[in-house]
Amino acid sequence: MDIVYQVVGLLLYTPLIFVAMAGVGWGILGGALPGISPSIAMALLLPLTYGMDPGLAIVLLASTYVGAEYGGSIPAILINTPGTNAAAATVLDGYEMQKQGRGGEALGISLYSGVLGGLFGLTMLILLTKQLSEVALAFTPMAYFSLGVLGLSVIVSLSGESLLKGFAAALLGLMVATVGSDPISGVSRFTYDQPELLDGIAPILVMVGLFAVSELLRQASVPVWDKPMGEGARLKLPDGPMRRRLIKPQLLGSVIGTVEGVMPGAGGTIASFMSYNEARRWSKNKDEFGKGSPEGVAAPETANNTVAATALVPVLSFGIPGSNSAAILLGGLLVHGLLPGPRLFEENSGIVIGLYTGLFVATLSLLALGMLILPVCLWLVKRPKAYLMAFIYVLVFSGIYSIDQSLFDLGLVLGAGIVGFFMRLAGFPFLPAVLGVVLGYLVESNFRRSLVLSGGDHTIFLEDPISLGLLIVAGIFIIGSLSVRMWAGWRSLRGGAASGSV
Amino acid sequence: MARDLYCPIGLLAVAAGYYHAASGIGRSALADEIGATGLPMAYALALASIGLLMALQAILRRILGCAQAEPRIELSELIFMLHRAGGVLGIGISYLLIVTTVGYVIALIMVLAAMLVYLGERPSVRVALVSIGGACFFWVLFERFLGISMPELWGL
Repeated sequence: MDIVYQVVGLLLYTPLIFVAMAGVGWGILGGALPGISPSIAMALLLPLTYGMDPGLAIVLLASTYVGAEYGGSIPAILINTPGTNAAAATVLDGYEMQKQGRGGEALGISLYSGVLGGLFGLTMLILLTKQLSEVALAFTPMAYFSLGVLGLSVIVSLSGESLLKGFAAALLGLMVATVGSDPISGVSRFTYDQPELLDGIAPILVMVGLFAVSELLRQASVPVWDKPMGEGARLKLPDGPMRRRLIKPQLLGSVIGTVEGVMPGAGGTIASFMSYNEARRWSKNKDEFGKGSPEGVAAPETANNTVAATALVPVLSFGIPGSNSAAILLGGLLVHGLLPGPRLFEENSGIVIGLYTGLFVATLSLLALGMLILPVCLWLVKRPKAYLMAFIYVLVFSGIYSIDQSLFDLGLVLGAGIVGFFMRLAGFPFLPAVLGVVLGYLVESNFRRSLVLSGGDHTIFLEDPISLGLLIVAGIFIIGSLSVRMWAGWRSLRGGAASGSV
Repeated sequence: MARDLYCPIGLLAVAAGYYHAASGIGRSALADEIGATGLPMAYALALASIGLLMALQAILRRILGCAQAEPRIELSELIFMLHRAGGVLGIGISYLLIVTTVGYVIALIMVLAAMLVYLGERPSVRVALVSIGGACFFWVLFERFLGISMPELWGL
């Protein structure tokens, strides 16, 4: 009962609601601007929190994180540019829906799924922090390697028409991920004496180049602008039948997001790709995926918003920041003298309850703010083609420059755009390449660390139970996806033969 | 254009170039068994294998007389696409070249105006006003609101 009084007191007698809403609003803006990642949006706020009440400061930072994770889906759907890494999987069906004049519906599904995912993640965070935190501690380099392999296993189903092209695209992504300092010896690889390359190429640069710049290059030669028209250009939350259709992908996204969120380093990107893959696998409308499937938007959006809450489990339990955003939140806790760990829950239970309450308000605020902001975004993308393209171009320049104040990064984005343009011409899918860039370092560094630990014995990956479990799941995914492909190929051959004989 | 033949050639070229670059990576006394070159070389070989498989697939398709799986792009269409894309790219490269000299705001005005005209808008007062207004909006958003230091006029 005390907790209820505390929550009511927080809501009525402190500015928690306004702080949470401000954080969400700021986060949506940061997530929606390519280059301003959730961590940058949070970092920009960090100095402001020094003088604040510790509880409110943590709520502000956490709400910003929630808002930014959602905000990334807005440009992904409207202009084919994922605002955050985790929104890359949303591009596939979200932008297709937008091209079909269903952008308002896609944004509505993403908002609805994001809110549900956030609420589910928060429930898991409150109920299962202790149990879930043990998962985080059990992760070894072998398990991380296998987690990366599990993430890469979805390439088989993200490859579109040609599996070979999908694998080639993934390898190109993995190659990009090798640029920078070697994870074990520190030797520079493919850096050509450019200090900007020593830390590698950030996935966001590749994504913005592949998706946004290559789309601008392609659109320059398309005379007719496919403008969203009529009802589809208005924000549309899912109705009853659609909500029922989305239950399965949302459940998949919630469960995958919960599991991935508690693993430090896994993050929303793997969760959103895996959810997309599983939603397609279990969907009755598999053929719609990649062509504007509402389920293809709902699954990754639910997953990455679930991760936004469950990623706090290792931060609060052990002080392990699994991502840049979590590290900034950890910084916020430390600045105010709050030490993460079991004692945080005992000695500062008020702060923890405030954080949970703030996250609840922030997640609900997503719905309210989304309904206010999204119609404006939809109006903006209905502008004439020349104006929209010109503004997207300068948005890319400004957003990317703001990451590190580096013109070199802008050059890389233009380079990725050229590669993306030719990949489009040659029919190569982008998502396997993105997955390769995102997971390449995780896979290589943990593969080699594991072998250093085992003295070169490869069976170490089978001796670690979590690693073995993840490898088995990856194997099942790969075999399952290959079987589905072969079955579909055989059926189309049979169909072709039958129609040919008529 | 026969994409099914050009793609494998492109992949083989990338694999060869990457393998060559990987073989030039320095050695370290701290290196593990696999070393800094291990995975890059493996990736290059895997990409080359995929290139060869795609080439084999294309050749078999021709021998068996199967239709090409993907639609062909006519050469004239390709040249037009490259030409249009080249223009957009040129505007982007120009931005990179001038932004440290003329500063963020003026460079943005130039990019916006150039893009609008390149994409079919007639040079007009409206184009000028939209370009100036747009550049000011981005300056306020990034420089003032987000506090990010953008390039100043003459690099100051």
